[in-house]
Amino acid sequence: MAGAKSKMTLTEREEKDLKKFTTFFSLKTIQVIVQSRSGGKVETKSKIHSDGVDWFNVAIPDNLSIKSQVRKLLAQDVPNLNQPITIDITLETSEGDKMVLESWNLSFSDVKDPLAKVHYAVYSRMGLILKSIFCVTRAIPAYKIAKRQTFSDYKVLSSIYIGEGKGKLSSLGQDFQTMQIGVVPTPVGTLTLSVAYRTNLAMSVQQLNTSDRSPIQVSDDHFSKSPQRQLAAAALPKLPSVAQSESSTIDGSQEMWSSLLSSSPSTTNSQSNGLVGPSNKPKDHKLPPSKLPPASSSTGAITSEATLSSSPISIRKHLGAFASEPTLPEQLDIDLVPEDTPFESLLQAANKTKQESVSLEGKEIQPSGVDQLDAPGSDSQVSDKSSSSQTSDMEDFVMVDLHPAFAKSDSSADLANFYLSFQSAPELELFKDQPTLGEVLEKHIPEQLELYEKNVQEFDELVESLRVDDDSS
Amino acid sequence: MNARSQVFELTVESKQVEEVVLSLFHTILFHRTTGKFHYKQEGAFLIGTVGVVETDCDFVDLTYVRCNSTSLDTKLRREVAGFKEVLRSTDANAGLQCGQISLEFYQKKKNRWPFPDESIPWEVWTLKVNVISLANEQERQVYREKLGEILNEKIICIVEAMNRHDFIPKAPNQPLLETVFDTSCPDVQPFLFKISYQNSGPTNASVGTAVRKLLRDTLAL
Repeated sequence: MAGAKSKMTLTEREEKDLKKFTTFFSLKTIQVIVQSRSGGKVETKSKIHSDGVDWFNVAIPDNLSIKSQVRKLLAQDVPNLNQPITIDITLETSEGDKMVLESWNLSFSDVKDPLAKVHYAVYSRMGLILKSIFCVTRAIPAYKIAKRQTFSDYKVLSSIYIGEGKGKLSSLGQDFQTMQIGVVPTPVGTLTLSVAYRTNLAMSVQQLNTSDRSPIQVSDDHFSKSPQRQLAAAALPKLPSVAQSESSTIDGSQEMWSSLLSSSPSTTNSQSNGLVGPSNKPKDHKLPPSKLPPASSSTGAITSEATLSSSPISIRKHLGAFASEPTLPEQLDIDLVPEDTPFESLLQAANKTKQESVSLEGKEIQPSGVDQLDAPGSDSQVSDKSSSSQTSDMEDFVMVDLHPAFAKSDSSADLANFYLSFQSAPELELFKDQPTLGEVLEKHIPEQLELYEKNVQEFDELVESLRVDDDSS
Repeated sequence: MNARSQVFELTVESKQVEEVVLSLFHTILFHRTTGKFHYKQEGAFLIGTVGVVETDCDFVDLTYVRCNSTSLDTKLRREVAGFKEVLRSTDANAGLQCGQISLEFYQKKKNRWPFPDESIPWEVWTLKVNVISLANEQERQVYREKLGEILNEKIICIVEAMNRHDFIPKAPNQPLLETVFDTSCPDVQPFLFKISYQNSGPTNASVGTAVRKLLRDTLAL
């Protein structure tokens, strides 16, 4: 109770106390939330005289295992500007399926309130928020789930870590709700506690699928060397600062992350998938040189690729199995081997020819396994093929000779033509016997005029009736 | 002074009335209660600790948290029992039972003798209750859960209102403690509050009561 009773004017002392209050407030917040999800019931006695452990004038039982695990986390000066404390409550079934139920976030912003008195206003406000947490934890859906966990074949886990949990909001299902529980303005900044919670409690297909995966999750672009990938890794919750309340499932949140990343649809359409975010870089996405953005136009995942490929010197960034070493632009001999042939390195060895790097056209090597296209060195439009938004457009799609596997080269034209005939819908019969402009002028228009002329009486009556109505009103 | 006011309206079964009112009023009082003050010299004081207790309802699918204070709970229950009586009394003459119960927080302003102290409300919570009777046990079961959800929403509303930066009386000096806080409970110290209730049957003219209240207030001065 040192905070409440002492009335210090020393700012240094106040600062020290404020730091202490913040730390204990974080600790008590975690205690209340995690305990509420343990399935037990809380009951504490009111005391006329407070003990040292009773912070903020609210009797909150101290769970020692939570305390010891969180202490290390709170030893770092958190929450601070960029490092909020996040508490995720996750449901795990006996089969290993996981579902994030709610995500609590204690953040700190630099909106200062110089008038807030540390020893009464701030302290009592923190107490008020702790009471609110007691009420809210019992009022949102995860409480009932947690309460029944002892009878059912699932458990509710809490993971506490430093860092933004916002990226995980998508793991809360479609219609999750968010709520701001309370705000504590202090002379050095504002503490905000909010919660996002799931309202749709049915296990979704995605979650069931991801749980079947192997524990080691490797997303499609895992080996990409682009900086975005590293950024994405940095955005993941930091493992060393993860504290777990229940049985040790430190990898819980991490696994959820990786499954989220890897459960995104295949890379070709990941661009249009909002769930994945910019960190998931499409591997074979290419832009035609004419549509490339300027080097510094955006920060998206494509930027690095685009800027690289728009420069005269193209460096291959993706090396698939059996792919050759990156070739440098001085090796510009045009050869007969199409650049996108699967297993090209094998062919290269046999033919002893050099690989064309096609750098001037701003193209990149396709990963093996992609439909092969015979790209004449100058036809840059070929690379449009992989940008999914344009494939439906006949104008943008230029069909070049297609080499079906194991087929003779001269028969490919048939297949290509066959393919082309189905590229667009057949013309409707309706439009086949459209009258020409001459016919319309000579025949249809005079006919219509004649008809109107015949009914002129009727039209006049109509106009008259409208006018009369207008007058009367 | 304008007191801020919040009104909730709920439709419940007769046996749910008590728990519904208690759950909401206890949630409000939990936020509006501090530990006991112990004054030291120079205006400094120590504050006691408020205990918490989780309470499960029998007739509603709800668990709420309240202050662990028997005296406060007893006080509240007494008022709610009175409200229930009033509701029941309307049973004979009207088909639909309804009424309202208010929880009002106020400050006292001392007046010179012989005038009585003035009460200045600063926050009023009103609960309008309509009593219905469900046809069968199955409906009752469904409504038990539904009402639980509704009450949870109301509790979230209360929490949101509590954390707005609105006026709350300041902690006073020792001589003025009783003008802000209710010191009658031995273990906790809620802000001064009073509970009033009335049945507002469909025939009850609100103008009449307003005029009567106005007269009463004028005479009290």
